[in-house]
Amino acid sequence: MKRFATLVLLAFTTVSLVACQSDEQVVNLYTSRHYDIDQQLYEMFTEETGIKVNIIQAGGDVLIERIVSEGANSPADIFMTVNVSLLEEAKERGILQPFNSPTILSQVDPEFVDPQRYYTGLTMRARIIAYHKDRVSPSELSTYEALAEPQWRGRLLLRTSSNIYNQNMIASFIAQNGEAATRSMIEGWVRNLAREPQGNDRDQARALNAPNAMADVAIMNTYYLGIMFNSTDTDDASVGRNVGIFFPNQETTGTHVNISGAGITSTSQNVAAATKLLEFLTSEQAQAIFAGENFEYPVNPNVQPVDFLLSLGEFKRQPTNFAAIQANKETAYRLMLESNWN
Amino acid sequence: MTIALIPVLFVVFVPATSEYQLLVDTRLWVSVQNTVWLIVGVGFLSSLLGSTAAWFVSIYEFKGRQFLSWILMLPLAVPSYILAYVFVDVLRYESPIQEVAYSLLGRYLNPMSLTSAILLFSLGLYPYVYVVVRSFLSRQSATMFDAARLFGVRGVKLFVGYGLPLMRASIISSVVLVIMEVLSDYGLVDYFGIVTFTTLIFGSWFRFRQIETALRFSLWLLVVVFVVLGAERLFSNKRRFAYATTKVRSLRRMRLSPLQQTGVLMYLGGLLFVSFIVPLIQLTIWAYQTYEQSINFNLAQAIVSTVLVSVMAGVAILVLTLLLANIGRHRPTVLQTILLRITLFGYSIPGAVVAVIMLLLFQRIDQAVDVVMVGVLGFQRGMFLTGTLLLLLSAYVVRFMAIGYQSIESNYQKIGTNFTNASYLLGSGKVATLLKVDVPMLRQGMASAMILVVIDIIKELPLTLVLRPFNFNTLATLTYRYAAEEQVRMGAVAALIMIGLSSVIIYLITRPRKEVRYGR
Repeated sequence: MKRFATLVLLAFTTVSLVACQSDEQVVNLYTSRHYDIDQQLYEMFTEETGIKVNIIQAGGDVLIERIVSEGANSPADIFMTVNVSLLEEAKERGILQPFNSPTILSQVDPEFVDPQRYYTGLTMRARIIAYHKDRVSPSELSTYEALAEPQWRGRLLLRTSSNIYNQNMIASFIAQNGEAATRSMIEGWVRNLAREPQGNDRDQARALNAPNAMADVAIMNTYYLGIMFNSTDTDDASVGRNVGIFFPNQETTGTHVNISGAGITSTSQNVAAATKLLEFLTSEQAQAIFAGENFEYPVNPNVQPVDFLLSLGEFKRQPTNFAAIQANKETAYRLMLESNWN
Repeated sequence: MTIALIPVLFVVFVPATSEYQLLVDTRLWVSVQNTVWLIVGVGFLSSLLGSTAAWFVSIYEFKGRQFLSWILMLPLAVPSYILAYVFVDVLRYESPIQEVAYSLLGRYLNPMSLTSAILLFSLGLYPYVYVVVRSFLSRQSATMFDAARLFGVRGVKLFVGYGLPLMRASIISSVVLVIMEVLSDYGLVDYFGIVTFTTLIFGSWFRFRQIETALRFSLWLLVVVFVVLGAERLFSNKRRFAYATTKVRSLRRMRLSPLQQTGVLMYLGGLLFVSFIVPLIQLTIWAYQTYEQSINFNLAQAIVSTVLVSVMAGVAILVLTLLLANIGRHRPTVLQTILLRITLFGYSIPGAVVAVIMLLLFQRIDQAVDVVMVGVLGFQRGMFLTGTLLLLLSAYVVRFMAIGYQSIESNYQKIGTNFTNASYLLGSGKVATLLKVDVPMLRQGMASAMILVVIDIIKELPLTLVLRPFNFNTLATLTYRYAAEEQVRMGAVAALIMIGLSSVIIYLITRPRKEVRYGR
């Protein structure tokens, strides 16, 4: 037993010493993006720079807890996630440091960069109104707020209130319209539901597309529709024929958008390499692939979105105010609970 | 292990927040209702399916029995969230089933309802009951059944009158595992939009960013677990049956008429079809569509990692539970009993919560090591344990200890303490007795414990995701990677391999050895 223990200790010491002495340049990435395309881009990056990218993928919430609990010893260099409120959360909890790179600033639309440079956006997504083309004419649609009106009774589909995209969206409305107006909008939505909230974004589109009418409108992200329209699954592809995409609030405040993004951790030992990776991911070369493959909008204004998004046309965005989303997200969840949004 | 749970208990002393109160006001009642329905529904259905299946393959002889008795364990290898995705897809609105349903009912069947959750959990989890009850029945003495046969009791009467009372303890101890697995589930219930305690836990943690409130709701969950465990004690047999002889004649299986055989085959075949064949077919179709993108070096690495961690943690759990259960059966003190029960909690709270507790624990250890390192060696190493496989393996042990414990304990009860005491009397030490007397008699029980633990680790997600080292993937994390992006079909190859691997492991552990028959 003793001998075994000694062996184990020896093994650990060796491993840790080896890890210490290695000269190889690395970036340690904690990410909640799960796309295949990310992997390919990291490989391209390694080929170009010789910097190896080590990855841990998990949910953004728990990755933040991991970095916090690892404290000063955290090996993480970059925290990357798919939701701006988690980036804000990371910033607030002190696990990020401002990046220092004119390149990133020149490559990314300033709307999608944290004003204090704690993180940069990598891709942008819009939360839109999807509608069944036979039963809804785009002329009936106008704003998110209008979906609370009685004419949509029994026709609306939403995901659950535990969904973070919904929480962010509601937080942005609170910042924009105030708590009282947002509350009455949510209450109207809940009254208008076609069924109890369930399933993921794709399930909303599938329910819209059901052969016998179940619901007529849904609030969801654009890229899921992009993936479905281009699917090899014939039922999913038929969503593309029957379901239309409407950008709400064009005459008023603009369509709600969110970003996936990344920041360098405050304890990073490889700041230079980490900065290089962020520069690479926001470059024209990478952006076209990074955003395009997943039907997301690039944050680099010099890069065209993919055809699917181009075909939807230009649209007016809700002015990004990420700090306000962060400040209001708890209130948002509170309102959703109080309005009985399942 | 208990140390890991102490932080949870401390939250009682932290004042409750207004967010906690809000969740209590708006969500607690519905989550209690849903939880009760899930416990009762899944508890009943999985014990029914598991115990009848075990009964048929143990008591009766029919064509294909050997094969069925093995393959009926395999649904264990299908994670419940995969089962959910498969059935949501099978029941898509364009499907013929939905077409028929719509023309009959005037509405679609909802594949994401509470009823559907109960069905899916039961189909995926009945093997827990099946495995434990079957291993229990395999050690039954023929004498008990001879008596029944003499009186002409058979069929349903034999099952209800003799089988159920006999199997009761093993059904209940295994159904406790099923219930705990359901209580800790977040993937399926969140996907279906069913509010349960895990919704409250993650609502407070992820949406309100209050980990204390999340732990407070975890405590609520523990209260539920206490109630379930209390019920287990209440319903289990107080009387202990134990052999006093090694001359146990294993039972002779009864022959069935052709008609009866058909009935049994249809029942077991139907169960297998819904719980295993349908997901398998669906996954195979998906795998066929996507294999070109998903077969790569990552996949090969994931297979190796999956085997390594599940076997390593499995063996560790087996050894630890043997020791613990050994304490448990020799008149444990009250304190020991409570501590033994607490080990079971790791299995009943959501994996992500266990993960964070483990992170906190290891961080403390690392800090202590650091202090010593600085003191003794004069330099700081930083993280010693966090970020290594050791953290992940310990977390598996904390989480899945309960499974090993439950199945070993119910077997210990069957053996009783007569032989062990005899061994002590003859002057053998505790370790020698454990190895030479108990372990050989526990072989069956250990095998079933090993199956349940290893398969559960193969499927494990939340702990693996958060606690793994860099670039470390298991088959479960590969499968999940795509499911998380709503592209579940891309993960089908990994899911299929996961199921295949579990099947191989089940086969290796239970492979039919020459059955030793006494008294022939």
